[in-house]
Amino acid sequence: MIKIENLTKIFRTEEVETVALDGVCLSVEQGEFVAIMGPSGCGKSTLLNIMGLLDNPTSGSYILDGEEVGHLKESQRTSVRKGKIGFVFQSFNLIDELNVEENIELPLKYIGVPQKERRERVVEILRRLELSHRAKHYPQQLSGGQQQRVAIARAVVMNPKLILADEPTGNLDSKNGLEVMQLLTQLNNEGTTIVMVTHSQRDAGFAQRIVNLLDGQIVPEARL
Amino acid sequence: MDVFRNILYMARRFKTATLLNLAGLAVAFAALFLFLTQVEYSASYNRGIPNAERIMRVETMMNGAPWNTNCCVPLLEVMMEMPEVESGTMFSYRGSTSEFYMGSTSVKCDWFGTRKETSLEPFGAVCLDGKLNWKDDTDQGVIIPASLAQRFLGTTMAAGHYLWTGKDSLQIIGVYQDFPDNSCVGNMIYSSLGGEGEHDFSEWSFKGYLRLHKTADVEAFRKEFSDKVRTIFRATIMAEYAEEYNNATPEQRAAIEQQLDSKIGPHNFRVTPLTETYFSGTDSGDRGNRIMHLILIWACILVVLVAAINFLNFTLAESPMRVKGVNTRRVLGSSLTSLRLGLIGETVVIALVAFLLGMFIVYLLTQWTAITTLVQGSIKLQDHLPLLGLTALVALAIGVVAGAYPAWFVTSFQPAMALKGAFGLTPRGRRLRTLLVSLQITISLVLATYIGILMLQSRYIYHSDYGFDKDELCYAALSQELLKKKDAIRTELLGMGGVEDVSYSAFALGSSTGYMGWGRAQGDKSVSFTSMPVDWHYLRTMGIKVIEGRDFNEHDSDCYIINEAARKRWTWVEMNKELIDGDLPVVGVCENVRYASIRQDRETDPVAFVIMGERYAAWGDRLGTLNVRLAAGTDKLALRKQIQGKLTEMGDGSTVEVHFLDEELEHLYQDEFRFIRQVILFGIICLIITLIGVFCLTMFETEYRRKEIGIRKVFGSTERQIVRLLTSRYLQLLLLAFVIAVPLAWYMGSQWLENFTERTMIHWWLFPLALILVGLVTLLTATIQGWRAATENPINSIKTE
Repeated sequence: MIKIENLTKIFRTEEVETVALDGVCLSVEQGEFVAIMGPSGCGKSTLLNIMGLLDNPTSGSYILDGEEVGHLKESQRTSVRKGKIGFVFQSFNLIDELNVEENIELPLKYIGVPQKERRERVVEILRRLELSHRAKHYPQQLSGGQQQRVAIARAVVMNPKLILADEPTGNLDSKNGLEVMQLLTQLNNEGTTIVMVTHSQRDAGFAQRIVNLLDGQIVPEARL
Repeated sequence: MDVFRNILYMARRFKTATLLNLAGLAVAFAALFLFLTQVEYSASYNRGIPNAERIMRVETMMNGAPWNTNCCVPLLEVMMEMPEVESGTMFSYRGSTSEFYMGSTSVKCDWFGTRKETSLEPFGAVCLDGKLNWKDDTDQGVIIPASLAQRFLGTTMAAGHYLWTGKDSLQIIGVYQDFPDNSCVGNMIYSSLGGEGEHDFSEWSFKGYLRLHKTADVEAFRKEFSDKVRTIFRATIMAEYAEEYNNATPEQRAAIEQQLDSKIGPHNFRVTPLTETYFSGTDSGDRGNRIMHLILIWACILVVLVAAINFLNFTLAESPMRVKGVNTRRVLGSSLTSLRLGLIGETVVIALVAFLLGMFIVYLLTQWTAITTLVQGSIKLQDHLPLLGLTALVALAIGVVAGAYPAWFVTSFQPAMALKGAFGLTPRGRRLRTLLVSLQITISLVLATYIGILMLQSRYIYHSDYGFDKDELCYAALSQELLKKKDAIRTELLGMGGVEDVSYSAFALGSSTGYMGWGRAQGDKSVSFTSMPVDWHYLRTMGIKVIEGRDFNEHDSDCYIINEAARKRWTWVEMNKELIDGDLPVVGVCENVRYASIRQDRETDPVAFVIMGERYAAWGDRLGTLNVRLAAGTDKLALRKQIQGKLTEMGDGSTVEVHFLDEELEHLYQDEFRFIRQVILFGIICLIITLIGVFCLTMFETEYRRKEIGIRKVFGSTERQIVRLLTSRYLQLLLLAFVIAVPLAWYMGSQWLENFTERTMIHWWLFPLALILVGLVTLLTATIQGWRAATENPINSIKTE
C-alpha cells in the first residue's frame, strides 16, 4: 500500500539547515499495523506527515496505492487525502466549537456524503465506540480518553484505508491508553492499515512490525 | 521595564494591527480634543465679556410675531434711564459688509453705527488709542479694533489715520482692544449714530443693550421688564400728546387713551442676558444652535466610546496569546496583583502614547491655515490646558478600561492548565468578543449611513433652490460718485455682451446676517418684517418669481411686494391696498427667498421688497448695491473683470470690487458649513476607527482559528471552503448588525435633519451603500486572512495552541 524510497526532508531557515529525514525507505502492506519509534527529534512525525500528505518530501519517492504522491500540489494532496487517510493526534485536535457528532461528521462533509447517510454513519460509529450518550457534548466536556475516542471515530468514520496515529496515547492515562490501543487493534483487525508513531514500548507491542528511526534514518532495533 | 518589553513584543508580532490600533486611538484623541474646543467655544460664548451676565439685550415682539431684536431709539433711551440700568448702548447696521482701504491694504469688515455717548462702554471696551465715543452729533470718525489697526498699520496706534470705503474717507478716532472671537460684540468698525432715529417711534431698526448695576436683581428686572417698559412707552408717547390731552374733554381723553392703548397694546418687551443669547435664535446673529452643540457633545462621547470599544476589542483579542507567558510568570512567583497591574499598565502606556501622538496631530493642525474652515476659535494646545488635561484623563481611563477585563481573563486560568497549553477563549469570552465585533460593525454601519446623510444635506443646502438664481449673479457696493450715475451704469452694463439685467438694492441678498427690520402697528393690526429697499428691476434681475399680484414696474413708487410667508401671516392683505392703515400699498406677492442663515425659516419669516419713493425721500438714496445678472454660459470671471473695469472707469478711479453672489452665500453660511464639515469629519474618524477595529478583530479571529483551519484541512477541506466558512460568519454578523443599524441610523439622521427647515430626504440607498462599504472592509479582511491561514501548511497550525 505504501512504498517509500530514498525519502529526504530538509528544513531550511536563514541560518540553519536541518535534515529531518535522510534517505528513508519503507514499505507498508495493506492491512498491516506498523509502529514507528525513536527518540524525540528523530523525524517520526515528519515521516508521518509526509505519509499523510500533510507535507511534501524534499526528495525521494512516495507511492500510495500505486500512485506517486510525493510531490503533489497542496490541492492535489487534499484531493488524494480525502476519504483515504484518517488521522489521530496526540492532542486530539477536536474543534472546540463543534459538538461530538459534528466533529465526527466533518470529514464526511468534505468528501460530499449526503446528509442522511452522514447521520447514519455518525450514529453507527458513535454506537460502535460507545459514545452515543456523548453525541451532543462539546470537547471540553469530555475526558481525555473520551476525546481521543471521538478523534478516532472522526478518523474512521469515512472508512479510510489508512489511519495515521501520532502518539495517540501520549495525553492519556494507562487505562484510557489501553482502551485506545484496543480500539486501533480492532480497526486493524477489520482491515484498516495503521501506521502509528509512539514512544511507548507497550503501545508498539500492539503493532505487527516496529520501525526504528534515528537521526532521520531507519535503523535496526539494536542500534537504539 | 517588563511593560515596555511586552508592548514591543506584541507590536512586533502583530505589526499591522498594533500600528492601526495606535493610529486609531491617536486620531480619536485628536478628534476628542478638537471637538472639546468647539464645545467650549459654544459654551463660553459671550462669557469673555466682562459682566456678561449683567448685560441685557433688548428684545421685542408684536402681536404674537416672533421675538426680534429691533427697537426704536426713543424707547431705548428711556430704558437706559431705568434705575437698575447702569449703562446702555445701541447699534444700527450700516449696510452690506464693506471693503475698507488704507494705502494698498484692503480689508473686508462689517460697519455699524453706535450710540455716540457710550458706544462699546457697556461691554467693557478697552481703549488702546484715541477715544471710543463722540462728543456730539457733528463729531465724525470711526473706531476700529486693534486687529484691524494692526493689519493696516502694523500698530494699534491708528488714531488720526484715514480709511477709504470706496465712497467716503473716514477718520479713525479710536482703537479698541479686540473682543473675544466667541462673542456677539463683533470686532467691527463703528461710527456714531449721531441723532439718527431720535424721537422716531416708527424706525425700529436699532439693537439695544443695557448693563445693569451690580446690585440690581437681574431676575426681578427680567420679570418686570415688559410691564415697566410698556408703562414708560405709554408715558413717553403720552407726553407728546400732553397738550392735546390736557385740553381735551373726558370723551376725547378716553379716545386718546384708547388710541394709545391700541398703539402700545401689541408690544411686548424682554431682556436676555448676553450669556443666554447665543442659543436663543432671536437674532440672525445668534449663531448658536443647542442641538448642534449637543451633537458635538455627543460626538465627543461617541469618539471616546468608539475608541474605548476598539481598544478593548484589541486587547481582548490578543489576550489568549498572553495566557501562557503570564501564567509562567505566575508559576515562577509573580503575584496576581502585580501581573494584573502590569497588564493594565501596558494598555495605559499604549493609550498615553496614543494621546501624545494625538496631541501632535493637533499641533500639526494648528500649523495648517485651512483649519479655520473646520474649527472656530483657537485650537492651540496651550490655550486649552484644562481640555488637554481632560483628554489625558480620558486616555488614562480608556487605558485602564481596555486593560482591566483582559488582565482578569489572562490570569483567571489555573497556572498548571495554562502551562500545558490547554486553554483558549472560554465560551463566555467568545460570546463577549462576538458581541463586541457585532457592536463594532453596527457602529460602523450607523456611522457610514449617518455620514451619507450629512453629506447629502450639505450638498442639498448648497444646491437647493434659494428662491433666486444665485449662480448667475454678481454685485458691487457703489461709491457716492457712482451712485450719481446709476442710469448710465445700467446702460453701459446692459451694453456688454453677457449682461442680462441690472438693478439696485440696499442690500446684497444673502450676503449678510443683518438686514433692516421694520415694524408697524395700527389698531389691531401690526407687522414686523425684514425690509429690503430695491428698484423696480430687482425681482426680475434676481430671478425671484411673483406668484400673486404683479411685479414692480417703472411707474411704481412707495409700495411693497411681500413674500409668501408674510402673505400667510397677514391674512388681511389685499393687492394694491395699504399693508396697514397709513402704510404703503402691497402690489404683489413673491416666492420666499433664502436671505439669511440656513436655519432661518424662510417659510415663516416675513420679508417685504420696497420701492422707497417720495415718502422716504429724506432717507436719501439707499440703493447703494448694484446687482448684475449674467447670462448662463458666459465666462463669468472675464465678465466680472470687464464690469469692474467699467465701474472703476466711471467712478473716481478707485477700484470697485465686484463679488459673485454664490461665493458670498458660502461665506454667509460658514457656520453651518463648518458644523457640517465637523460632523462629517467626526463621522469619518469614527468610521475609520471602527473599521480599524473590524480589521483587527477579523485578523485576530482568524489567528485563533488557525488550528481549526488546520484540522479542517487535514480532514479534507479545500481552501475555498475554509474562506467561505470564515466569511460566512462575518456575513451573518454583518446582516445582524445591518438590521440593528438601519433604524438607529435613520433615527439619528432624521433627528439631525430636524435642525434644518429645508432638508434632504433620507434616501433608501444610503443603507445598502453603508452595508457594502463596511461589508467590503470586513469580508475583504476575513477573506485575505482566511486565505492566508487556509494556504498555510496545516501541520504548523495543528501544533500550535
